[in-house]
Amino acid sequence: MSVAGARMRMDLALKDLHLKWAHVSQSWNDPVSRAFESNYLDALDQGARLAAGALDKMRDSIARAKRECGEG
Amino acid sequence: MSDAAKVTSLDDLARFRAAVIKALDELRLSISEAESEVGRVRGWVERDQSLYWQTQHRKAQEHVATCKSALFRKQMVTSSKDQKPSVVDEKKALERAHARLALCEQKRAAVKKWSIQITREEILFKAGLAPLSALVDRELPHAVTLLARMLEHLDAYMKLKVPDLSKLYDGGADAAVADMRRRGDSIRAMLGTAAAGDAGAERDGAAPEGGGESPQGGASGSQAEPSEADR
Repeated sequence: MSVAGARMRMDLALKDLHLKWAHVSQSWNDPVSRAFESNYLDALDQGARLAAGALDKMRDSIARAKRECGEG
Repeated sequence: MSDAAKVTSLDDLARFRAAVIKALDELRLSISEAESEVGRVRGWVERDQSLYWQTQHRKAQEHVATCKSALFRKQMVTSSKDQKPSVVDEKKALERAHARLALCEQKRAAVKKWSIQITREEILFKAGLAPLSALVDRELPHAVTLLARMLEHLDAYMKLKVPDLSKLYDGGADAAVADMRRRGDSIRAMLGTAAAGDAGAERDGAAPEGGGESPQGGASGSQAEPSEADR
């Protein structure tokens, strides 16, 4: 899988998780659920944002490296 | 109360836990595949392309030499009418060979540059993925465990057996009363038998000719008839 494919997979996984969270929030809404959201889901979003930046930058670098070092 | 627990569906919670596990697997796979891809590209630049352009450069040098020789030979040839033959094709071939050699030199320089740059960018890339990797390796498995424990406790709570006191107010009450009555009868019978035994003993003491036994066999029977003294 390419770096772009990994980025897409990551985005889909997080999107699906947020959908499930929105659903479960309707039946689980108390201090523990809010702490869960803050400790895990918000942290996951922050980590994913950093990872997305790194993946995008690496995707561009790989494209340049292939262009500059390849035969084409 | 603001600090009260509010969970209205254990199924939803279980489905969310399954979604966290799935996301965990997907994220782990994404990180792993991305890192593998970067490693593959680094290997491609450092080994494959380095070797490829080294070989191509040598071949281009040889081709330039061959084209130069061909041009030189053609320039030395004299035609039958003392005219110089055309060397346009040889010159064009030599130009192409020079262009290819220049490209090979340019590519070798690019490979050298990228061998350093891709390693540097890989370090930055891994640093960018590190927080997500830490979450995937440590925090999210902990979240899955936490949800599992919550589900276990809530499930155990839901399965708590509470005595059904309403049975006392319907048919169950009659049965309980009947049971109590039966027990009471039994106790009374035992007490009655014991009393009969005592009375018999007293009578035996007063009238020794009775042989020392009660008329109904003493204290062994729970359904004993009242003795003469009882009457």
